[in-house]
Amino acid sequence: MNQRDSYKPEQNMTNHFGWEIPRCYLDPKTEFIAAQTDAVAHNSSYVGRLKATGSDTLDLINRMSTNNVLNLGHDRCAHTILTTNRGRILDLIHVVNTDESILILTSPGEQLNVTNWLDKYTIMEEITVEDVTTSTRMITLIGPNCILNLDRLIGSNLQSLEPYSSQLVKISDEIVRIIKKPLGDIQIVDLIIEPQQLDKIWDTILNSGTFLPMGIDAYESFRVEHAIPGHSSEMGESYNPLETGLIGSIDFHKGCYIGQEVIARLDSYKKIQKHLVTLIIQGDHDIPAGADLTCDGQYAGKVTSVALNPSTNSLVGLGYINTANAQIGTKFGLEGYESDTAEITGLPQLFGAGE
Amino acid sequence: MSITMDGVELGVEITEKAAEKIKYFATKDGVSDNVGLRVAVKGGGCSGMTYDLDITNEERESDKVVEQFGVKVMVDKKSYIYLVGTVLDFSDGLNGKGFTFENPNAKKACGCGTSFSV
Repeated sequence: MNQRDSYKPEQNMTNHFGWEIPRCYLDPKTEFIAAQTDAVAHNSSYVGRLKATGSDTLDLINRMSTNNVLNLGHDRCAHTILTTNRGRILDLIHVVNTDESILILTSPGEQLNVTNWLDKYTIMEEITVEDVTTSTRMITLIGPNCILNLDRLIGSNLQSLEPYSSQLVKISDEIVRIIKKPLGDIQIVDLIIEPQQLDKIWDTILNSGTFLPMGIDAYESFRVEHAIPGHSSEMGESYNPLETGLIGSIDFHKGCYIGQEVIARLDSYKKIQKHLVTLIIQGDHDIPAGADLTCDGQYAGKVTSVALNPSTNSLVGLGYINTANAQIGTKFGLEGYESDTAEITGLPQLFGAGE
Repeated sequence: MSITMDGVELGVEITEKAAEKIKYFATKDGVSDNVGLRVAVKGGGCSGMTYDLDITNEERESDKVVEQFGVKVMVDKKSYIYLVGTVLDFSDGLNGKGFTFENPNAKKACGCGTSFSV
């Protein structure tokens, strides 16, 4: 099977956080199903990448974020949330300890905000942060077979590599850093590469016949279906990590960090006001993100992301619902769309239920 | 750079009780002469910035130095901006909090008292 037969990016490129990325290579349904059942390769170069050096880097990030990264070993990766002093989300980041530096993966387009945030609290610390988003590239492999297929392609044994680990591997004689960072039961591997390596590695992966390419449209459907919160839609200074279901990224025993008191209090006294939920939307309209959800005619929450599940042809969404109404199976009206309804299908916890 | 009020240069002060405790801890650390305390601010803590104390007699050229009750208090120039006018005290007893900071620059402080925001 030659994936390049259907490779037609010039017809459907879209600007995604400043990057020209294909919306679709084959068709969204095929790409989406491949991500769910087999393996896809997605050009994720739009994800923010920072390179931090200096002896205080991990110490500073540890003092500014929810998870314990202080003793992150070489070639290990951790997810952690930078929070404001009100306990709100600045960004969910992944921190990778490479031999030479700390690589920080930010949400798309958030690399400058994260840099400025770290800089704001750098007083005495020895740390230098460099934005390497445009000087590097990234490919993300997704799907239950993505690691198996990569192992077969390059003769590696990444299946035995612990989750949240990183390693240098060789793909078509090019040295590439891989990061194994599953999200729940979703297998995900990021490849961090040099710009000049992109075409060669992309071609090698696709020409293996074991990966399909995935464009932005199918990725967005996949993101919503698997409740991966997006920055500005589900994450930002309107939400705290507990509301967003990111409790698995909080270490309640690590000590102080910015916002720690607020988050600890919210957890102890069960004062969470709203919850991120997954929704299935039924009706005649294309419901936009931002639509209000109602229960008995009263405001109950808001839709934050909407996508078509190309596999079932149904509209799925993410949203925030008042705690009192946040139960699976609860149905809501949609303000301004009287014939449509939204039903809660899950209360996601991306990194698990925590301790 | 110095910050003054009514012509008087402001620095970081310590109370007599704090000075006694600093000398006590310095002695435990094997420092009995020229006892010094480095007071600094680091990013992090519940409220964004956190105090950092270190017993040392190593003075740096750019430090702001105040000597009180036989203790030399040293503050680096970056931390000085956040600490100017601060009084360091010591609160003992069963419910005591240890070293406490009365920092006029702090708009908010966290419950444990070691973190603040400006």
